[in-house]
Amino acid sequence: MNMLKTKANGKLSFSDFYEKYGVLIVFILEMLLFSFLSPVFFSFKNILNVLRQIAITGILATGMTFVCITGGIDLSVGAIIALVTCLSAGTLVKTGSIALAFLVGLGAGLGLGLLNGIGVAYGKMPPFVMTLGTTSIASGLAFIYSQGLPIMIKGPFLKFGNGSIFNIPFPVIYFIVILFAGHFLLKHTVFGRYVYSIGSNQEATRLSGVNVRLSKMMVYVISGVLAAFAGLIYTSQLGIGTSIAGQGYELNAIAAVFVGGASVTGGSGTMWGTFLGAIIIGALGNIMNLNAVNPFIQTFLTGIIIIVSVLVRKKK
Amino acid sequence: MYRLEMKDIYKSFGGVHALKGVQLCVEPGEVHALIGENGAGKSTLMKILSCAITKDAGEILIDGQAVDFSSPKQAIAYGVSVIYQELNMAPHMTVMENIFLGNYPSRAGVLNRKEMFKRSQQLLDDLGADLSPTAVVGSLPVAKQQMVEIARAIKNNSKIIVFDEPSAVLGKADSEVLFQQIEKLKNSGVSIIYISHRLEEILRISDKVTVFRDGGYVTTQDTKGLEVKDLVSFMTGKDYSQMWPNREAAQIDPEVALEVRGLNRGDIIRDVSFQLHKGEVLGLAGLVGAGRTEIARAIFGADPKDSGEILIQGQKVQINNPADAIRHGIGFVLEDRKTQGLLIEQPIADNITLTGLKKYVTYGVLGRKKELHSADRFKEMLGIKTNNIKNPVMSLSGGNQQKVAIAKWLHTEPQILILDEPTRGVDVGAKAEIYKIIEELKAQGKAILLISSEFAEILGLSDRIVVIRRGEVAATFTHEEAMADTKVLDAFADQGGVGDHEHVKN
Repeated sequence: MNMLKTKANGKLSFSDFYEKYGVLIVFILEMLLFSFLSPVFFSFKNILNVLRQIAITGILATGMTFVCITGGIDLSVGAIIALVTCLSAGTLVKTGSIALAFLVGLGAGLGLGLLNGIGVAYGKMPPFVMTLGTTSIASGLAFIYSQGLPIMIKGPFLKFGNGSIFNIPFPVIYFIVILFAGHFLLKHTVFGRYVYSIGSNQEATRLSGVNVRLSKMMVYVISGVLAAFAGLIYTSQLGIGTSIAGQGYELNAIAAVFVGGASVTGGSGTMWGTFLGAIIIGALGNIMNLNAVNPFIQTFLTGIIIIVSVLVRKKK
Repeated sequence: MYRLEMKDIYKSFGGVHALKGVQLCVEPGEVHALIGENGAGKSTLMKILSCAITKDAGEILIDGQAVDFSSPKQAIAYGVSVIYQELNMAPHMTVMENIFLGNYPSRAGVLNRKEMFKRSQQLLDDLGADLSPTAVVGSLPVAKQQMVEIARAIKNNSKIIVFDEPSAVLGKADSEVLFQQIEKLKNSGVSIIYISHRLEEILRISDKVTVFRDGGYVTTQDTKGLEVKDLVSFMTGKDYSQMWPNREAAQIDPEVALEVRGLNRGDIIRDVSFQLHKGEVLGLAGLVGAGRTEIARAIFGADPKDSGEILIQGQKVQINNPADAIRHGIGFVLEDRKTQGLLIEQPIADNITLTGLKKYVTYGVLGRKKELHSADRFKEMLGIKTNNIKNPVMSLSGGNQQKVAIAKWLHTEPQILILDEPTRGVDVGAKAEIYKIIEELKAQGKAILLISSEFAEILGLSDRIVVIRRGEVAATFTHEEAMADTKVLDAFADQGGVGDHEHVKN
């Protein structure tokens, strides 16, 4: 009698099937293809290399997944990286305190995320416009603070982004931990459920007694703070704070989310999808490197993948 | 010869038979009213006529010629114009641009604005409409916008003009102007098809009435000699005296569950007060747009109110948002389950539990098992037919979707339940089941506020009926009083609109 245990009827239409497993299929096909193209592609070392390369995008994409499921978008994450690299590098140079550099960096991300969230949730600004505005604000602040000059850093802070344990680079570990935390938040908390509900039907969610504005604000705060964390990794990896850091990163993060199967209008999407989406795009760059192909083709192919993956899902 | 003949028209949406072989014959220079309850198929037939949707079977003749439109443009070319209630215009464009929308006067692709202005002015003058062709449509009151639609229909040399609930958004004075326009059009030989829920209006302006019920044709009659009572009987298929289920005189519990005092919101709700008792079904009767839903929304905190007090079990309470209402034991099954009530792409279970997820949380973790177990209990209780409550709501039929919409509010264990059009768009079987649920809830001592546009539903289920007219409480009837005379039908036959102001917001 217990209906909970009965499986959904096995019949799945193509679009349902794609919705569920499409990303996984594309992922497997790509892995198989790339293994043929390069014998070293599937080596442990190279896989770690891919993960290291996508760590920053992946962390941004984790935050972006929350935003996109509510039906929003956050264009400001790239610019937040730029501002955070400048502020944290500058703080480190001036005070020598790693803790303070972290605090200032994360604080900046929190502040801009809050600004986005308040603008969208309470000011009823369209997310695209609001976060476009904060992109310019963050990027402008980065220029003003750094005078357009790179800020070099040295010392133990570099270990944060470049160190490794058992050959696993730190950024990969951060990424995986954040991904799991994101998945947990999305699937096993009330907040996560509200994120899906808002994206499905904001008015119905509000009328169900949910504080829609608070949840909506929170997704931008999460995105901002994760962007700041990514910015700290960036600073450490390159040993530099610069106002041109992170340019275009927001687009890769958004691409990972949509390739990963999130609905463009909100209401659906998963962390695992986003994870695979990030790898699908990241592995493309990797195989170009391995085969010494012109790396610029990657950007071109990424574009094709984004369009095709969303197009196939639209065919209903 | 008829101007328009529609014969044996069939139309299904999925498995639902919206039209089951209906007919409609209209003579030249005739005002022909088309009536029926919500879902009777009136609008579907008009959409077929204007080719907004295609028919499954049937025949359409215009002036004795069989026609088979393949596009809305073709329907217009044959002289068919439909003026929808939610006017179909580009609000940012001017009056003349809207009148000529689709075929602007031009030379070699360049707009001829002078010509457009001249012809628009002529049309508006002929109509006696005091309107500038260069006014922006969105800035005009609804009544004036309607004039623009009429001007457009005349410009297209329409022989048949359909008015779909035109007066629902108009005040009394504007309705009069509209009736004069219709009279003029009629005298110039245009055939008018007039759809309205305002039965007195129909009796006044129409020459003939055709009645549909549940997608089927009932009758066509000369309007002369008919009364509101007759129209209601045609529409519901029941004599007024039979509209009541046999039941004992209502024993109303003296305990007041909900009291509303002096509720106001703009022109939409005006000084509304009433009491709802424990174990009682109180029907809010009135026309669409009379303010019934708005009153419910204000009580629930879904919309802000200007003034008024809400008392629950005699205690004054502050309700500023739906969360407050839920905390005070109020549930609200909304009018439109697809846009307001449910998350149709999300699982059934998630929809049911959304109204109170906190009770499944331990140390911040949402207990999915407990949640599903609870949702399953509601599934069994209401008889929601699905093989998996993790399926999305959209996989269900309308009736089962509606049960989910009710379940999500029973989930909050309310003492007061507001039901707004609880059986809209559900089939007869599901309707009966929902009625049974309402009776059961009543027996459990829940206080129920019922809003419905169906006569039989309001009359059959309510212990008392409050009639809302233009945002005000117009009358209150007990079950016995309503049974004793037909005055309660006036609630459905009201002249005039939302308010006496000509500018209706939104």
